[in-house]
Amino acid sequence: MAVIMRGNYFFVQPGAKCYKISSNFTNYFLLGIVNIGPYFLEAKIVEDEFAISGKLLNPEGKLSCTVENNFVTSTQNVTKEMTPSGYRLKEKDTGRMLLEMMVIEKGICLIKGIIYNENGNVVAEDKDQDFVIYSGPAIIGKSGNAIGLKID
Amino acid sequence: MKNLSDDLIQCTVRILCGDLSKTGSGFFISPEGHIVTNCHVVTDVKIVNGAIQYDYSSNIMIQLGNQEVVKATIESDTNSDRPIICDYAILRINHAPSYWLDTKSFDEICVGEEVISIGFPHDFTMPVVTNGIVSQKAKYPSHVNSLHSLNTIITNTRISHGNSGGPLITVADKRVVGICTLNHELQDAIFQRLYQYLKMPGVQLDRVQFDLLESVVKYTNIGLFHAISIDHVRTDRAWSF
Repeated sequence: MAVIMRGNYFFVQPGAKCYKISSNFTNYFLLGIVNIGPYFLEAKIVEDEFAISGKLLNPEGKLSCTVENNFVTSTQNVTKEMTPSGYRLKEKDTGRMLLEMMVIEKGICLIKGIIYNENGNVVAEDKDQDFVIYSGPAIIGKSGNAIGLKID
Repeated sequence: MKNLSDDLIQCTVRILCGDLSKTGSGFFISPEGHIVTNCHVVTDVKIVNGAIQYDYSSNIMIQLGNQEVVKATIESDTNSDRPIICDYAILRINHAPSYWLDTKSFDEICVGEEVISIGFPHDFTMPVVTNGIVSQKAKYPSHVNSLHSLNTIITNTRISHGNSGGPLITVADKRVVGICTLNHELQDAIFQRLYQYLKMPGVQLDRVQFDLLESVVKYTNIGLFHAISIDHVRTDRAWSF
């Protein structure tokens, strides 16, 4: 069953840098398992900077690109469009957007996108005002070893 | 300040991109003819449909200290967006310089340390030296992409149009600490606010008033400028010297 979250705050201190995923604010966001799983998306704040890494798959379950601290390190069929406040990762053939990062006012980084697993199924996506997680694992919010919300 | 060694002046070059109608400054960083400058000196950056597009100059010429002009190639990674975001470019010419600059990392710099800038501001075709101190060290969002923060040296050393890409050098040990890049953003903010105000309905100024205001803003300078740490250039894969 899908997890639908709206208007939650996970380990976000007032004024601190954070990610906005749909209407949720968090200091940390992970979909999948870092480096081990077939796909993952990890958004963290390192030394007061937004750092997004991931291994993103296309709707066929094949590797689209890998991202390391916001820089695309390998790509099969994806273009990175830099914008003044972030970037967009788009499929070359279809122009479909896989992921968008955008710094908005007060140091909030907005994440939008569609994450696929190795079977080509949508694991999570932004939809209207929601961010819907269809299947885990996922972690939202982290402080040291403490985890805000874990979805298996 | 003691008389400046001619070596430092010889390290600095003028950069001319005829196809982009741009000029700037740069400096030798290796005995093999590698030159560092700002990326914005050798690229044309545009925003199309909200996305940043950039084209590197195909005609980069370097004016050396002896006034000789030679062609340069781009050595930094043009397939990566890192040079655009961090605003640096590594060029190379087929010429072995007599002098080149050693680098000093961001962590080694002290606030209050005396520094000089060498470059070719405005219409100068000979290198011009200005001096000041390291006013502060800070992490600032990249002026190209605010998702990324850059190690930035704030200095009162005067940097004008044409100085872009020139070296910021510590006086004590004559090492390059940063690439002279831009004015402190507050000056630009004053410009923007003024022009926004002038566009508002009901605001009417006669020509004299407008000219006066424009001149005041134009010559308003809070006296602080930004140089991007040389450390950002050292992360490029072309930095192997």
